[in-house]
Formats: sequence, structure tokens, C-alpha cells
Amino acid sequence: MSPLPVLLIKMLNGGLFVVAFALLGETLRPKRFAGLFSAAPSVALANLIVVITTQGHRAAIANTRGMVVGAAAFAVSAVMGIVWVRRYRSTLGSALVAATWLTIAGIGYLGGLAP
Amino acid sequence: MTGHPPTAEEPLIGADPGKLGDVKAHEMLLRFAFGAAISLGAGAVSIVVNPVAGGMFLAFPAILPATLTLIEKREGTAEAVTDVEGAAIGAAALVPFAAVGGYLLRTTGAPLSLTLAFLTWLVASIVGYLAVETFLRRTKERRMRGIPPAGGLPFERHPSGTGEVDVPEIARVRPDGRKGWSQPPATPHPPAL
Repeated sequence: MSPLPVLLIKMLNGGLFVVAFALLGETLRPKRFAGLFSAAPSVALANLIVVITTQGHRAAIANTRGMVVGAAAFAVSAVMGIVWVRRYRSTLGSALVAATWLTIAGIGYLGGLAP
Repeated sequence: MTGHPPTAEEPLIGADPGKLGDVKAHEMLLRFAFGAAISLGAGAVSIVVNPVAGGMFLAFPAILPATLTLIEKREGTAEAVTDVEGAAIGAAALVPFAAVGGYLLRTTGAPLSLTLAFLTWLVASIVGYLAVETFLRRTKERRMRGIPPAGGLPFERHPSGTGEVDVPEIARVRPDGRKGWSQPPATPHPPAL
């Protein structure tokens, strides 16, 4: 299968999974428990399903190797985000979370994952 | 350090399906757009760089900005902070999700691998949440009852060691004007009459 249709399927699937988990999160309380679903593996599940179907297990295993580092970076940046969102509000706080993730994940990739 | 402080009346875990009626279509469209965009980005990085680099983006905090800005707009910044606290626990649980998924995919079929990986995330995140929430509730309860936190005397303890002075929470103000536990003040309390 050529890359473009696969990317389109990933986009559609990713969007649908995110909406499904977001709707689930909306019904849960208290807010801290609902917050778990802001970091649910929605994009991961949606993409891994497409990768396994179109490229097989080997590509999906490679994806999960990278995801371990990405998830660790997400956990650290989200902890820092608790302080940033409180101090700078949501928009700037989330931007700082994303910048921190890029920095940590980049270091992790160059430090151990890059071929 | 916490956003919205937990209250003892709130259940540790609850659901209110009726809130689905309050969900606005444009909010879900925004989340769909974020999910589609990060999926496109992860796929593109997998093609251009390699699948390992693309896989990192499966854990990019792409949904968080949309969620936080919507919560802040609707319910305020404190609620958004509380959501990030939950997201931090969920994000930590993504590590075992990826590790278990990657391990099982070597030996097991995809449906079982992904199902077990998701259950790993769910269990790890709920256990982490219960640990944090229980700790926060106990800490709050101790403060309400005037029991000192571990590692320090309460501000209200009388220097003579005769016991704690019953001070209402509103009056628990440190010398610098902030509320909360502190070391005993430089000036001792006046002796009890």
C-alpha cells in the first residue's frame, strides 16, 4: 500500500480514537481521574492498528521502542506542566509542555535510539 | 502543588454519563483535528526518518493543549491544573503500555497484544491515580484535623510542649502572611491564660 492512503487512514483513525477517549473522559469524575484520559494511548492504538495491518509486526515493534522514550518524555513534561499551567495558564503552559517533550525526546533519541 | 483540592465527599472514581449532553460538537472537532494532526506527524516521521522516531510521536502530548484550554475556558485554571495532574499519571502509564505492547507483538497476535497493552495502561494509571488521590486526601484530612505533616511541627504547637493550640484554619497564617504549615515563629506564643 502506498504511503499516502496509509497516512490518510492513520489521520482518520487517530482523530476518531481521540474523540472516543475524550468523550469517555468527559463522563468521568473527579477531574484528576478524568485527566488520566488526557494521556490515554488513543493515538498510539489508532496508529499501531494501521501499522500492523499495512506493514506488519516489525514496524509496529519499532514504533513501540520509540514510544517508550516518548512516553517517559511525556510523563516528565506533564509533571512540569502542573507548575506551568498554574503559573502561565493553559495556552502557554501547554506550549511549554510540548517544548519540554521535544527536548527530552530528542535527547533520548540521539542518546540511545538513533541508528 | 495540587490544582483543585480533593474533597472527602467526592468518590475516588465516578461517572456521570449525563455530562455527555453538555459536550459541544466544536470541542470534539478540535480534538479530532489534534488527533488527526499528530497521527499524520507520527506517520510522516516514520516514513522520513524511521519507525522508531515516528513511534516517539505516538506519545506526543498533542491532545493536552486542546483539553486544557477547553477546561480552563469552561471551569477555570484550577480545574485545568487538576487535569494535568491526572495526565501526568496517565502519561507515566504509557511507558508500560509501550513496553508490554512491543514485547507481546514479538510472540503474540496483534489483537491480544494491543488489548493486553491497553489493559496494562488502564491498570497502571488507575493504581497510580488511587495512590496519589488517597495520599492527597489523607494529607488534607490531617491538615483539617490539625495533625502535623511528617517532618515538621505545626505552627500551632505551643513552644512549651503543652499541646496544640486550637486555632481555626482561617487563622493558620504564617508570619509572612501565607497560609499553611510552617516552622514555629521566632516570637513564642503568649502563655495560655
